[in-house]
Amino acid sequence: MHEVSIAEEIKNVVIKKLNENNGKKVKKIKLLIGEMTTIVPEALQFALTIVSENTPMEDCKVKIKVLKTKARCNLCYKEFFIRDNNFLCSKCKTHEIEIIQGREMIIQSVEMER
Amino acid sequence: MGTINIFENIMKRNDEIAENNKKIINNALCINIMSSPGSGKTTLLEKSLKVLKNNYRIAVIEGDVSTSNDARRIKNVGVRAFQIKTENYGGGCHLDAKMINEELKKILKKSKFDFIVIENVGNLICPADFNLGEDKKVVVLSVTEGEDKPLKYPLMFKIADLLILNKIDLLPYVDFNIKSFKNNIKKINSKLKIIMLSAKTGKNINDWIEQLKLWYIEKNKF
Repeated sequence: MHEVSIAEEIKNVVIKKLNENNGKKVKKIKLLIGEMTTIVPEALQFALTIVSENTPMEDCKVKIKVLKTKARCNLCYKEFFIRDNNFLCSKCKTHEIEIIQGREMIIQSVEMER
Repeated sequence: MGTINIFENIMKRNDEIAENNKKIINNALCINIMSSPGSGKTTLLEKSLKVLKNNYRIAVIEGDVSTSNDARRIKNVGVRAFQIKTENYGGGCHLDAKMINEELKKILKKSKFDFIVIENVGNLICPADFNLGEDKKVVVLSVTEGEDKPLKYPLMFKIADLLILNKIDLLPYVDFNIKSFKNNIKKINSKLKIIMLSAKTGKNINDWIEQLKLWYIEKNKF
């Protein structure tokens, strides 16, 4: 639901970078989105198309890579992916775990025409 | 043509403003209350703040898409309340750090407060992604919503510091299994503290009031 505000924020950052680098048009942006955020990638794609209209970002390609939720056990140090919202160590079954991946919302790179 | 790697956090701006909010909030205890619409957040605040206001200075920031109904309800119990209508910010489904920042600057210009309570827009999804600069995140769930909600909206229950299970007076009439509810919570956030209460009848509401006082003392003990 809030993908439009996220898309607006992406647009602000990307346009700023475009201007800083004397770019004319954005061709492609790559995003990294963690699975443990409330972002729906398809909805974000759509929102970006809408907010890019009549900007140098219009018609740019958007590639979204979803990062799976990953945790590390604080007791046995095993690293594992969280499945079915089961936040417990897959080896020693404790809840003493730390999320090490899955909360990201990152603009990885911007491809532009100069 | 050229590709530049920027690796920038999309939430960077929000998080920076949230940090600034923390500074403005200073010694006050700020809580961010989140839940789905109709879980009883406002009733919970009406009942508990009526008691707390005798000893503490309290400001409530209400977030809704539209109307000032909630701020009015809080004012009716004698507590200062400020309404943010997210329709003025493009109809958002959540509060973000900037909206809170603008409100805090107005509120704290003339007065000082011990508690700043933010009642977020009723929504178990989007508010979970936005830090506001609060000290504690509280999620309210009511028994009419069903015991599986923590599994359906895990992020909200993962990030919460406290869970209020509201409307326990309705337990005899609904199919809400406390045991499986607790198991669901344990899977997602085993350390999450749960207070089961009824804002309507007042049952166990004291536990919630005491928790707020405790947090306030913890923040200001040095």
